Amino acid sequence: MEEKLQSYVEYYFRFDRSEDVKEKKAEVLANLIDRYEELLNDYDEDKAYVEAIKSMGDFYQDEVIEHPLLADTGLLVALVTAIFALVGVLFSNVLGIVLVMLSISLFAASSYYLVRHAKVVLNDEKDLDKMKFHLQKIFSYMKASFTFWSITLSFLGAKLIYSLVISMAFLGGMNNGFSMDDVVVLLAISFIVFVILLVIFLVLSRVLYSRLMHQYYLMTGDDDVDSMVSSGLSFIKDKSPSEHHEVRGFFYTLLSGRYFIPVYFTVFWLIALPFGLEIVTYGRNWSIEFGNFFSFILLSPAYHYTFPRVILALLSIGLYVMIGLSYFVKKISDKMIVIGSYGLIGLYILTVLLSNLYVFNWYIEGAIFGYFFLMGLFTMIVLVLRMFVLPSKRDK
Amino acid sequence: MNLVGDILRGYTDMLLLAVLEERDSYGYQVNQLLQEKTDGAFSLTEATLYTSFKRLEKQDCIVSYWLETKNQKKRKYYSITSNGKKLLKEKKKEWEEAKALIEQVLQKNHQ
Repeated sequence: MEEKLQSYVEYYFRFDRSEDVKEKKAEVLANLIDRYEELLNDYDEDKAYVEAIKSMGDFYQDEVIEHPLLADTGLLVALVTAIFALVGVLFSNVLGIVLVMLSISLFAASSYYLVRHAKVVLNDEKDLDKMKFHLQKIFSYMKASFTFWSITLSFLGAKLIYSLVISMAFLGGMNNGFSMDDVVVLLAISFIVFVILLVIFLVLSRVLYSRLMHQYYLMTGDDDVDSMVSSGLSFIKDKSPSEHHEVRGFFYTLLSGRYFIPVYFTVFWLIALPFGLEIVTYGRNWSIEFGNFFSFILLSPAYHYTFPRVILALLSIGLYVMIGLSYFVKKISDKMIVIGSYGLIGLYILTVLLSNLYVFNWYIEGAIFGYFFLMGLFTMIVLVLRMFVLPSKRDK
Repeated sequence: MNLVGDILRGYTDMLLLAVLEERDSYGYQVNQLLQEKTDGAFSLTEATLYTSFKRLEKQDCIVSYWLETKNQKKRKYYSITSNGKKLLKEKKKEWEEAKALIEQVLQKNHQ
C-alpha cells in the first residue's frame, strides 16, 4: 500500500514546478504512511488508504481556478500559429506572412479581451488575485510568440533580399548564371541580413515586453510577473520556471533558456541544411568536396600554416570540444553551450569575411560548408541529448 | 460547524510553535500532539501543516532537518529558533489580550 500512496503523491504533485518538490513529496509521503498505519487500527486497508489521502487536504487551494476563457485558447492558438508560420515561410513567403499576421491579430485580440475582462473582474468582484491571474496569462505566451514572430519575419526579410538581388542581377543583363563564388556571397549576405533583422526584431520585442510589464505593474503594483507565469514552452526543456527566474541579463536570456531551442535550431539547422544541399548541386565531385569539409578544420593548419586559418581551425575545434563537454559537465552546462554555439556563428561570419579577402580560396570555401554541416549535425545531437537523454539522467 | 476548529485555525502558527517549543518534531507527530492536547477536536491537513511550516521557516522561526529513525524511516524534523520563541511569546500575549477582551465583553453582558 505504501507504493499506492507514493503513486498518488507523485500524481498529485505532477505539475508542481517548485524547487523543493522532491523534498515536499518525501515529507508528505512519510506523514501519509504514518497516518495510514495509524488508521489501520480502525479500518481495513482500502478505507485506511482513502482516509489517509483525505487527510492531505488541498495544497493548491490558494490558487485561482477558473473555467478557461475563449481568449485563453486564442493565446495558445496564436503561439501555435506563430510556430506554423516559421515552417510555412520555408515553403512560401505569402503563407508565412499570412500566418504571422493571423498569429499577431489573434494574440492582440485575445490580450485585449483579457485586459478588459481583468478590469471588469477588479471592478465587480474587487478580487486582485483574479485580475492578476487573467493578466498573467498574456505574459505566459508572450515571449515565445515574440520569438517566433521575430525569427519568421527576419527569415522573410532575408529571403526578400535574396530574391531582390537575383532579380536585379538578371535585369542587369547577367544571363550566364551564378558562379560558386556568387552564390556563397549572396547566401552569406542573406544570412547576415537575417541575423541583423533578428536582432532588431528581438530588441523591439524586448522593448515592447518591458513596456507591457510596466503597464502590468501600474495596474497591479506587482513588478515580478516573470516569477509567477510559467513559460509557454516549458514543456520542451528540463528546467522549472523558478530556475529560469534566476537567469539574469538581457543577452543571456535572449540566447539561452526558452529562446535557445528556437533560435539555435532555426539559425543553424533550417539555414545550414539548404547550404549543405547546395554543394551537392554545384559540386561536380561532391564526395571529394565532402571530405574537404572535415579535413580542412582538422588538417589545414598543418598544410597551410597561415595565421587566420590556424586560429580559426583551433578555435573551432576548441569550441566543439567545449560544447560537447558542456553537455556532460553539469556545472558549466547552459552558459558554455550558449557561448560555444554563438562563438561558432561568429567563426562562420569571420570565415565568410576572410573568404572574400582572398580572390578564390577553396580551402576557405570548404571550411564554410564544413562549419555549416558540422554545426547542423552537432546541433541535432546536442538537442536530442538535451531534450531526451540528460533530463532523465538528472531525474535519477 | 466546528467553531473551536475555526477559531484555532487563525492561530495555526502559534499552535505549531507551541508544540515545537516542547521538543523537535515532524509533521505527523505535531498533528498527533495537537489532537491529543485538544482531545481530538482539532487536527490539521497535510497541506495546512506544510504551508504553515514553510511560512515559519521563511520567517526564520523554525529550522528543519532530516532524520532517519531506527526502522529506517526518513522524517523531516522541525526545530524552533530564538526568533520562533520570540514570535510565540508575542502571539501568546496577543491571545491573552484578545481572550481578556472577549471575557470582559461577555462578563458585562452577563451582569
